[in-house]
Amino acid sequence: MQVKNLATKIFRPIIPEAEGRNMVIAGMIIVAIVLFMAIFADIISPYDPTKLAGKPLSPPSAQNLMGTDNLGRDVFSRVIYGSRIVLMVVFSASLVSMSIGVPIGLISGYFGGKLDRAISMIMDSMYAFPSLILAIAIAAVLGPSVVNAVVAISVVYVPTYFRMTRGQTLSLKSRLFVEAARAAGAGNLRIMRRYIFPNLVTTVIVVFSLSIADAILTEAGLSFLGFIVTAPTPDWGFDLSSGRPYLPSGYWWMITFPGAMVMILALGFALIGEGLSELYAPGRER
Amino acid sequence: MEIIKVEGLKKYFPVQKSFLEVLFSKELQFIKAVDGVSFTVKKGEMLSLVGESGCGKTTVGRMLVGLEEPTEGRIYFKERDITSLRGEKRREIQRHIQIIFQDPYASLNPRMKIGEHITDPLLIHGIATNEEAKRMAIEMLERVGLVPGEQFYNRLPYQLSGGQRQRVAIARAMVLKPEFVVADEAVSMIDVSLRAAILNLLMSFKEEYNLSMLFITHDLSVAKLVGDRIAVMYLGKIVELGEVNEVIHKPKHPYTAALLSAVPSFEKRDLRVGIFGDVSNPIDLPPGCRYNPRCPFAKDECRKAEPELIGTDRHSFACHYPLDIVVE
Repeated sequence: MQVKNLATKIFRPIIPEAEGRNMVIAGMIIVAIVLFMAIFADIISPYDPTKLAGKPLSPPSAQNLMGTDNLGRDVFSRVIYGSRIVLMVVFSASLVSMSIGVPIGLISGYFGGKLDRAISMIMDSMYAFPSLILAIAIAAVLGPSVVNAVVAISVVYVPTYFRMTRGQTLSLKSRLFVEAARAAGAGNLRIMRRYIFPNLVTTVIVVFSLSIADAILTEAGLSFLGFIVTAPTPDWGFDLSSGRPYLPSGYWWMITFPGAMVMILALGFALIGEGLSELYAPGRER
Repeated sequence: MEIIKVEGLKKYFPVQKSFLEVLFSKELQFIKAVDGVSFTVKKGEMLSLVGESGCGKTTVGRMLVGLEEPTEGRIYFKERDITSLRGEKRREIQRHIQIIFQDPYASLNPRMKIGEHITDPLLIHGIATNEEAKRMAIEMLERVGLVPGEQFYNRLPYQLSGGQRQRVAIARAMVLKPEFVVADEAVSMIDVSLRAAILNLLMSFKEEYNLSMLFITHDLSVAKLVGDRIAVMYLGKIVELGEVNEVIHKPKHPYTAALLSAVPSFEKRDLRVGIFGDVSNPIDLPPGCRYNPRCPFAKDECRKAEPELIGTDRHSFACHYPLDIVVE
């Protein structure tokens, strides 16, 4: 009860009291915890994630909260450090695809015509691929590295932002207040900047958190296949693949914990996204 | 002096067709929204444009402010042809021709401060710097009755009522000190109790700036009140045009008479001019006079030849058999 009161106190000024609010708060708590883990990994984690920390393959115990892996490294420490790469890759990739997809969608939707058709066709053909398959293809061409993973994932999510922005722009540009601005003499750039873009922001935020949730899974997939990091760097997807051969012998802790973390983090962002889209649901001005 | 002169203005909208229809018929169909309209507005004059919905009166207004491109015809502003002006030159003219829209709920940007709606036109036309614009906007807000201006400046549209929003729309149009304003049904969505106040506000600007206005409305009683002259539109054409007293008291066209009969009144009236059926299809207009299927006085001639707008400056009409009645 007290926890709930405290949470309400903190979040009330930021988030209006409305449907979807609890989802946003739950998601924010999850994301905040993982962010905290990533930032203070040095302080929180009991062992160096790349060094021997106990007998190999020992089950969870007081010494090793989540057990040790086949090389005797502490799984708990690896899970904590692993959050760094996921968050970095996913955030920067989503920022890149947003800053490419939103302006292109805005211009394409606003001006329409042949340019719009050409861009839409390219984006739709990209959107037709399953995101993981496309990411793998790009990553395979570029070679394994963190930067290349960011490139691969950002390319995959550009169409998501493009389609959303273009659709919204199409409906916004025929709204009366845009015509009023045009009648006042406003140029195209001004109309896009002052009249259309501000009305897109809430949708962009929703799509941003939803696509991050999706990108986390894509990142984990790429990492699992070895396209992002190499041993001994800790990363959840990568640790899943290194723990996989030991699962049939009963060493469940090597993959359960990193896997659960991927799921929880994706859930956190999905909750924020879904909650926000409910908060900003049509009919609610502002 | 003539501020605005419109000659033979036409606007045809192509009818949207499905792919199969396009494949099997070559003929393109058009909705004749505006079908040859001519009029002038003098300096300081208020011209009311009256007609039922769908008659093309809004399209005329939109063409005047450059939101719609005419299919045919010319628009002159102070004897300068502005029909096909684009870009920077158009923007210069735009400063003098403003519009007030019907729907105050849709004409303001929900994410922009009230004040910014008024500073924006000033900044676009480089009339004032940021600070000057803000000062002018606050003055203008108070001028239209949104006091205190500083408080209203920082509000967002959703915090205002319909009447207040329309005041903002008026302030936005008037802050540029235009010479010609199109008021497109500017009071028809306003609460009846506030209509008079908004109309008075508009009229006060007209006095102050010696404004010329095109006042688009479907409400004859409002047109009677504000207009110096009245133009009655039916299906894309002006059927009667003249000074308010002439048109209201001596209507020549049966359509004007029918509209006048439809105005509710407490007094007993003798005027009862009927109207039949519904508006004809603007894609496929009836032959002859376009009002003939609905006119109780229609004769053979009306089904053959389309009447032209004839008469004097004080009063002209497009009818083969004009009425000869006097309405009190």
